Amino acid sequence: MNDVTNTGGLVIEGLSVDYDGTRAVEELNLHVPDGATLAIVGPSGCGKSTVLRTIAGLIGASEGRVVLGGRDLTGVPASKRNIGLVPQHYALFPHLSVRGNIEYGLKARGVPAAQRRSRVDELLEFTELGALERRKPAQLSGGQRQRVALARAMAINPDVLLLDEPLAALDPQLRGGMRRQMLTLLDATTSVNVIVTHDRQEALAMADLVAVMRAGRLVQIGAPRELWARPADAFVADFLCDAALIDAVLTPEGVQALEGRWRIPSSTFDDVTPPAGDQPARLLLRPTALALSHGQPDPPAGSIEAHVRQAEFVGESTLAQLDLAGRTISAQTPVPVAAGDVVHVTIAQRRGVVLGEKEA
Amino acid sequence: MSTPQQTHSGRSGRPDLPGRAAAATPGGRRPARVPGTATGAATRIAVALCLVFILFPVLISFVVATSMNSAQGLWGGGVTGQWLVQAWEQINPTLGRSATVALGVVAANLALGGPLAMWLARSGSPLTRAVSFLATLPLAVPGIALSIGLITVYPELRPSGALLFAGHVLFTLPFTLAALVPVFGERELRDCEDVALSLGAPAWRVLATVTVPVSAAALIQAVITAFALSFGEFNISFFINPPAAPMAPFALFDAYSTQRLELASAKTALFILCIVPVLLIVVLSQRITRSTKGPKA
Repeated sequence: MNDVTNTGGLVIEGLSVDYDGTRAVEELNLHVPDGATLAIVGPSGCGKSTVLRTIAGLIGASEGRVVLGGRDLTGVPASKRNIGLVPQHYALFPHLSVRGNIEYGLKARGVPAAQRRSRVDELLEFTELGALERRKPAQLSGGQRQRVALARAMAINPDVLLLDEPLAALDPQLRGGMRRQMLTLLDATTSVNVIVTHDRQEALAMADLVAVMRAGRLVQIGAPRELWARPADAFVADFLCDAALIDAVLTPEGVQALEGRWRIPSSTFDDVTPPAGDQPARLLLRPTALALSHGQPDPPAGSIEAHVRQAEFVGESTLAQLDLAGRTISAQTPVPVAAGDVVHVTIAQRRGVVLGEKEA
Repeated sequence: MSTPQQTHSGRSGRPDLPGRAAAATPGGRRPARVPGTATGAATRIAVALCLVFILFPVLISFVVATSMNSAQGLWGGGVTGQWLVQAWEQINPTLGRSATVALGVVAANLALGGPLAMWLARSGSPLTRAVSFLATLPLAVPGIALSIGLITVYPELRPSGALLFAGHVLFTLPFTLAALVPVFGERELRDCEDVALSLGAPAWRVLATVTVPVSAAALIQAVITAFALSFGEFNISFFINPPAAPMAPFALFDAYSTQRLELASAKTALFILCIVPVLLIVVLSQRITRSTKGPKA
């Protein structure tokens, strides 16, 4: 890796963390520029919260470094790092009012009372919590608590703002609105923001960079659109895009997949230039990229037969789990199919994505 | 966004908190309580047992303590306060001595039990189980055996009262740990402490401004329990304490053995009056904690 430790922003270099005798994070390397938001995503237990707590200084690194703005924080205690932390359930101090919570960090740093009052007033107005300043956390709704936790972390002008599953504690109906509100708040910060989430929509919508982790290791990092378009492997495709990534062969006629049983003409794809000879490739199959036909006497060109294992009506469409030559693949279709149906699957025009053999 | 001010319960007109609103029916009314449930019956039985076995004997003690001559029946010969006055004169120094020891026991429980509970709740050390077992052991040993064991091993500590003090600490420490360990191990408290640290508070400030206030109810409960147990402890006090300076429970035992029933009852009433306010503080602290914690988001 190039030496990025003097380039500003947050740099994590060769970080490994042992937790309760187990290696929770292995050889992690990340660079988040100043003002950018990084979302770390991955399934439960993949080590993403451990990374967050290590950045905050609440867990020690076994190997590697955490560097912020060129300053090595690895051995610096949590109270000296100038990092704002918003835990999953916000961890508001239950005995303090909204104002008391927001003011806490300023008091701890010995900021004079007049400056404290002014800064807290500013944040109360910014987060629209002015009318609630005397309330205790128990008297607030989930969304209000989240804003208090954010304001409390922002009050100290942190160099890094760490948010652990910031929307997970909210009802699903509230999340969309709160996500937009939080984006406004994060846009106003100049700090590096790191969000840990297992919700891919949250990650794609809120971050400038998305890092996907699995079993303590970084699988892929990049801009959301980049990861969406070119997932590094089947795990990222499944986790981030709900898609399947299958091996294929790019031929002069088109794409062959599933040991040649599925032949798709190259005219189906936008960005496929037929090669002179066969080339290994991978086919990214998103649920919305597959078109199903059911009950037609002649199968459409470029289609393959599949069995519907399971079908869920999800409103405007049906989400079907298909058995495609022994592989389970999701397809979202307006065709009303049911479990047990035999259907023909084609790739919808311009929706299929063919990737090179080892793109990352 | 809906705020708590914007939702009101129809009947009371009080603002509905988010958690309360969630418990209400779509129409805004609360579901009616179902009478005759098993929980209701169990509550009534528990209240009845308390009345029969706790409140009734206490009331009888007060009535006997204010009777001129209880041999003629309750309030026989009329009502008097003379037994209470006489009892106060006799038991006053003993109550003071017991209270002083109990306060010392409380201080020792906080000084020893607080850090020990923190360690037991948060350390990943395999020793925690062994220490937890050892700390709880005095509860499983009969008081008489514990007392005689202490006298046998540390006879030189007996005259100064240090052995009595140590015995009370041994006996009360498991209760302090039982109150504090679960609270110190709570994820919510640890998250609050982590946030306070990240905001720049040094460890002592986190302890003073987060750990102690958030655990206040458990700390108060530990303090009051240690005080009440030490104040009312009989076995260790009876065996270890020098007879010249008896503790309150022994004085009551002596009064019932050698004095008039009215005088002994009056001493009992004074003893109870000393301990009731302490127990009320426990109840009050629990209510305050419930209202502070409130519903989860």
